[in-house]
Amino acid sequence: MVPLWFFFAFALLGLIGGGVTLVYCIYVSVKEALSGSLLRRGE
Amino acid sequence: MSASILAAAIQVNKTEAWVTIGLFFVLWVVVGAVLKRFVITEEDQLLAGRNVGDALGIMTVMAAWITTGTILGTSEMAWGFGIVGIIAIMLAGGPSMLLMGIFAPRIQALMPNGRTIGDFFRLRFDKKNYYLFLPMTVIWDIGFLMSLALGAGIVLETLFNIPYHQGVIVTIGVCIVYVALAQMVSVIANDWIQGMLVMLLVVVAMSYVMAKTGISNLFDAAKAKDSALVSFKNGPALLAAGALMMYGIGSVFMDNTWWSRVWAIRRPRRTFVIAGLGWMTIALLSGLSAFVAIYRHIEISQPNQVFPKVMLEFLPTGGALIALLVMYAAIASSVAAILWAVTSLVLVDGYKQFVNPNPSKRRLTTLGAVITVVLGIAVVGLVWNKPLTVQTLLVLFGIVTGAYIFPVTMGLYWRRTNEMGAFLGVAAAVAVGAFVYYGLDRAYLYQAVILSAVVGFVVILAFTLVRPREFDWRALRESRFEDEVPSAGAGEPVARR
Repeated sequence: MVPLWFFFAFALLGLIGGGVTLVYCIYVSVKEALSGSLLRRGE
Repeated sequence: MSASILAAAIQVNKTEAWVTIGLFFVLWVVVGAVLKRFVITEEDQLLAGRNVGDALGIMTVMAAWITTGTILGTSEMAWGFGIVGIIAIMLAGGPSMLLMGIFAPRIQALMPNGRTIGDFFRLRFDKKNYYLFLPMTVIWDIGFLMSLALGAGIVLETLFNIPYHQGVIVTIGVCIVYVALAQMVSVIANDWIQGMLVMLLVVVAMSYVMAKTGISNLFDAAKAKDSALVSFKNGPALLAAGALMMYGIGSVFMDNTWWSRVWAIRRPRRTFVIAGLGWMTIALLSGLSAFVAIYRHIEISQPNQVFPKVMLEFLPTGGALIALLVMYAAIASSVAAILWAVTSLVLVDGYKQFVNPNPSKRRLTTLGAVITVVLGIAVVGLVWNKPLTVQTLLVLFGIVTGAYIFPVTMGLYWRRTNEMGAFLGVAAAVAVGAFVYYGLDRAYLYQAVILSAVVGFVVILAFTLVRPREFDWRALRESRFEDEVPSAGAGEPVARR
């Protein structure tokens, strides 16, 4: 059986990992939208 | 659908469900219509201009890979196998994305003008490998599409009381319309909407739920119910984890969905790695809903209802709607991505290869739309009677995907990889895997997938060591067919960071 701390770390990995990824994606989306680099045609 | 499943369906306002789907339809079609003007060259049509930024890149990779299996499948696996069940699904989807991220810069460097995975098999190996691979990948993709369409119909019926055939038609129909409009561009743009929605709802909802329950309470409740749920001593689940990882890696390596994104995205290594990590957190959080269900003693009559029932338990006013939004966005993003992956294969490796190497841009765009529509209608027809053969097909192709792991890996990195070895390696791997599953025992599915990958590796390695071939990597640089001339804007240098 895994110890409680492992399960705790596992669950936190999901929560923190998901939160960080979400925040990063929002940040990059806003940044690229403002700079007009979301989707450029080959140039 | 059995009465017991229908009786257990989450009671959601049917009007609310249809309004939600209708709003999605309008939004995605508007996005497709607006972006249609972006599609000028063949590169725009097939690969969204080869210059997709990080934001759209991460979300298109993640959303295309998140299916109902990621959400419902992980919670179902966790309900049955506990923590190892979650890890098994994380391994099924995460490492494949991370590996594709590692391969991506090399694929871009070796094949700067690549368009489909067919280009790789045609140029790196030979015709027999190319002609063996094309039907394999198209049938695999159609089987995957069928499983998604079947899953969409069943999920919408069992969870939201939308009749099966209506669920299938609206799901495929919505995707057909917006894919046909701006093709790869609208797939990528709508993937962003769908991926962000899934990520936002799963992360926020599960954070709220776990703040209410407490993590240690979940552990104690699972331990009290069955200590195996919080243990790694679970042989069958560990075997499933190994086989699912092979299945996931192989299905990504042989699928044009991912290769086309490698060429479409500006910085594919970063985007695939972040998308892979993000995908794993979505699977992990969805799986934890099973522990919440155990802790709150939520009645689960069908294991695939764990996640929606937990949402409903904690968010009685909006829980069902959240589950519907997550499910529908997850299904649509994958359906659209695979629809376009198959369409572009048919366009490049079918029409341009065998019929007309130099069609006008207008003809290619029209043809892309027509193929998408025909393919979508065919998939609806194939799943109309809820065929059981889809499961069999996917089992068989689990063996096939395992067989293609090493031809792709060794073909990309080892100059001496022998094309006869690649061909016979795939053939031997499929034959051995099929024999183990169909010939020995149907219980040996996971063993068959793992064995298929191992046999493929051994045969290619043996042939290559005995008869090494000195491949000239420069042969991969020109992806076009002999009679083909570049379309306007195609093959020109693309600004990359």
